[in-house]
Order: sequence, then C-alpha cells, then structure tokens
Amino acid sequence: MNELLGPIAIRPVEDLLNRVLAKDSYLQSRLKTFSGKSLQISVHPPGTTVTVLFEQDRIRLLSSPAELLDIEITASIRGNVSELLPLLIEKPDRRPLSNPAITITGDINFIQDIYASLHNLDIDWEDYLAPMLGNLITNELSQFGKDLQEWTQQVSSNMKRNVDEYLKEEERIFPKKEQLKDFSEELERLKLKIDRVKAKFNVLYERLDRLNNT
Amino acid sequence: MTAPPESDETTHFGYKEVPIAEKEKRVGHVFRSVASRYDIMNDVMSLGTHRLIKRFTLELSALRPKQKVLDLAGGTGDFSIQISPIVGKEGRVVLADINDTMLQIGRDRIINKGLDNNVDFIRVNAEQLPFEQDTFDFVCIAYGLRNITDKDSALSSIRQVLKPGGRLLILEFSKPQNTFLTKAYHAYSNLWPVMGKLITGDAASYRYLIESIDMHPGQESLLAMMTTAGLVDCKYHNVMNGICAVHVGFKATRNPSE
Repeated sequence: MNELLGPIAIRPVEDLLNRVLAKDSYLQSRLKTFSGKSLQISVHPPGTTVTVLFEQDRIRLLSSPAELLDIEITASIRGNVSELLPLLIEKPDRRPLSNPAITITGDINFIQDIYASLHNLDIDWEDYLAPMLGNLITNELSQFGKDLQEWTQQVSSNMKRNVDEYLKEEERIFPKKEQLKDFSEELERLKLKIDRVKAKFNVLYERLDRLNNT
Repeated sequence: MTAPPESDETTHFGYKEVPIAEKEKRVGHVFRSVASRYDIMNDVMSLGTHRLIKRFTLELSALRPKQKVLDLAGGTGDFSIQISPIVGKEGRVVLADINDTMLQIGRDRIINKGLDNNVDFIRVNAEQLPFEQDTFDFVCIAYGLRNITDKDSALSSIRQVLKPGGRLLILEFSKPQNTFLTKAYHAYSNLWPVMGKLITGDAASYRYLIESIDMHPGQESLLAMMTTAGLVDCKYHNVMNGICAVHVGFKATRNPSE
C-alpha cells in the first residue's frame, strides 16, 4: 500500500515548491540550467527516497527510487535526517556538504550547484502558505516558527558557552583565551630574543673570520 | 466476389467461448452500455483506490516534457488528463480506444478541461495500430488488455510503434498473492454486478468484468507474453498484493551494427 500513498503524499510538496519557483526569477533562471537532470535523495532512516526531475520551468517529485523508475539519475545524495537537515538550515561556510556521513554519487558539481541555489533562496513562506491555510493559521505558524528559531539559537548559544566553560574552567583541558594570548606574547618575545642572539652571533662570527684572515 | 469464409476459431468472452469475430462486438456492447457511468462505477467498485493505482502507474512512466505518448484503450481519458500537462505543449498525447462511446466521453472531458491543445483522439484496434514505426516514447494501456481478442498481436503492434528505448506500461487486474485476500477479493467482486445494476442498470457487463479478470493471464504469463512480443527488460510490480499489477517493458535500442 506504501507505493500507492507515496505519489499522493508528495503531490502537495511538489505543488508548493513549484509555486515558490514560479515566483522567483533567480530560481527560474537557475532551474533552466538543471533542465533534463535528475536527483535522487535517500533519507535512511526512515527509509524514504524521493526522485527529483528538473524541467525547464518546474520540478517533478516522484516518491519512487530511480531503480524502480528505470531511469538514469544525474546524481544522488544519501544520509539520515540529522545529516541531511544541516544542508537546508546551516550556512554554507560551515560546509555541511563535506560531512563524510553523507554519501554523494554521480555528478557532484550538479549537487553543489543545487546547494548553492538553495542558499540563495529568500522565501517569504507566509506569502505562499496564506492562500492555502488562511491568514490566521499562517500567522500562528509563522510566530511558532520564529519562536522555535529563537529558542534553538538560545539553546545552541547556551550549550556552546557551557561546554566552553566546562572544558576550560572545570577540566582545564583547553587554556583560557587570556592564557593563550599571554603564551603567544611570550613566544613572540622569545623569538625576538633568539633573533637578536642570532644577529650577535653572526657579527661575532664575521669579526672572528676577519681576524683569522689577517 | 464472395465474402471470405468466417473462421471457426473461438476465443473467450468471460467464461464463454465465442467466435473470434464476435468478441469485439460483445466487448463493444459492454462498454457502450456502461460508458456514461464508467468513472462512477470505477470509484464505487475500487473504493477510490483506482485513482491511487493510476497515480502510481503514472509515476512509473517517468515521463518527461516533449515526449509522445499513446494512451491505448484510454477510454474516458483518466491517463491522458494527467499526462497532457507533463509532456507539455511540445509533447503529444494520443488518446486511443476502439469504443466510440468511451472515446467520445474522454474527448469531451479533455476538451472541457482545456487540455486538447496537445491531445489527439483516434479510434483504433490495438491489434493493428495505424501509426508509423518508432513513433511513441511511451505507451500505456490501463485495464484494457484483457478485453483485446488477440493480446499477442496487440503487444507486437505496440512494440512496433514504440521508439527504440520506449516504454510500455500495462496496468491490469491480476492474481492476488495471498490466499485470504484472494477469497475476500472474490467475495467483494461478486457484489459488482449488484452495484452495476444499481448504478448503470446493467448487471451483465459487470459479470463479464469479473469473468474477464479471472480469465486474464496472471503476472508471470503476461510477462512471458511481453518477452515473446520482443519487449526487453520486462518486469512487473504487484499493487495491493497482486489485485492489480503494473507490467513494464521496453523496446530494445537499435544495435549500432544494424
């Protein structure tokens, strides 16, 4: 029965994505360059595979893997939810695509191009969801999303600070920033002293050499 | 000039044996009788699942824009309606059926949906398709093959009109793979003539439906027929544990030395 529910479940997602694409001229132009190509996204667990067919001005989502569809795909990407989710939410400078737990096969340039295009998205989701869900629900969802984002950022920042404090203050595994700065300055001073000694040695050596020659 | 003598050969029409020339007429009568309520009956008999099954079949087609498609035995146009936007303006869909009444309903539905700019309508016999060789990227036949008198000729004819590498999808009732489900399905399908009588006023056509499903080749037999017809990479996907099956086959790509 799963094979029957997949195509139905994926249809609203396809419609929503195509609405977004239709309103974004930048994405439209990017999409044209992907036309005719296909991408398979496998999320394991929970064991879901989606095949994306790129067309001139829209995309088609198929809930079956490429082997079942008997088509050759341009590229495929595979990983679990926690590995693939950062591709959507993390900034490119953190290089989530380089995660070794994510398996990429086929045309890697194609995946990098899609990834770059995704991060240039500037979507006002309220604009797309309001006609389908109504203003009230969309507004509530949007507020919930913003609260969730704020909470996530706060938790992440607190966690980072606490771990930092624990490692440096409690366990003293890593030095404090000030200690590191002092050590670096001392190192710099030592380097200067060595340079001065080396220069004096060179002068003395040259003088000795001249005395020997006379 | 004298008319050629009629063949003594027979074929099955449901459980009955009838002369070959007779089957086409009888099947034609069945579909003319139920055409106006055909879609409603499909929803009632399948409890709506035929829509899910058709969508899954369409997914297996992996259609792309600009392709040429033959929707054979397409009747009321369910598949053509879905396929037309996918192949787009530069693609082409041919809705073909042997039954003029069914075809007329399909044509009206498609025109009413404004999709007729890339859909053609043609009355054809699937055993002798009137198209040039290597015409279509994709041919589908949904719930139609079991009504064709000479299935082997139809499969050969389809192979001819497919482009090299083209794909054939056959969606048809098949044999459930589970004994309990088989019994439950038979018990349920015995209600179809009653439903048919209530909705279309015709019980006999739905008795024929049950009999024709029973007489239709099972998954493996149909697979063998496709291979014999010269299709390659043939396989099937059971749907709802084999109540239906989607068979897939391809026309071989030409050998460069040919």
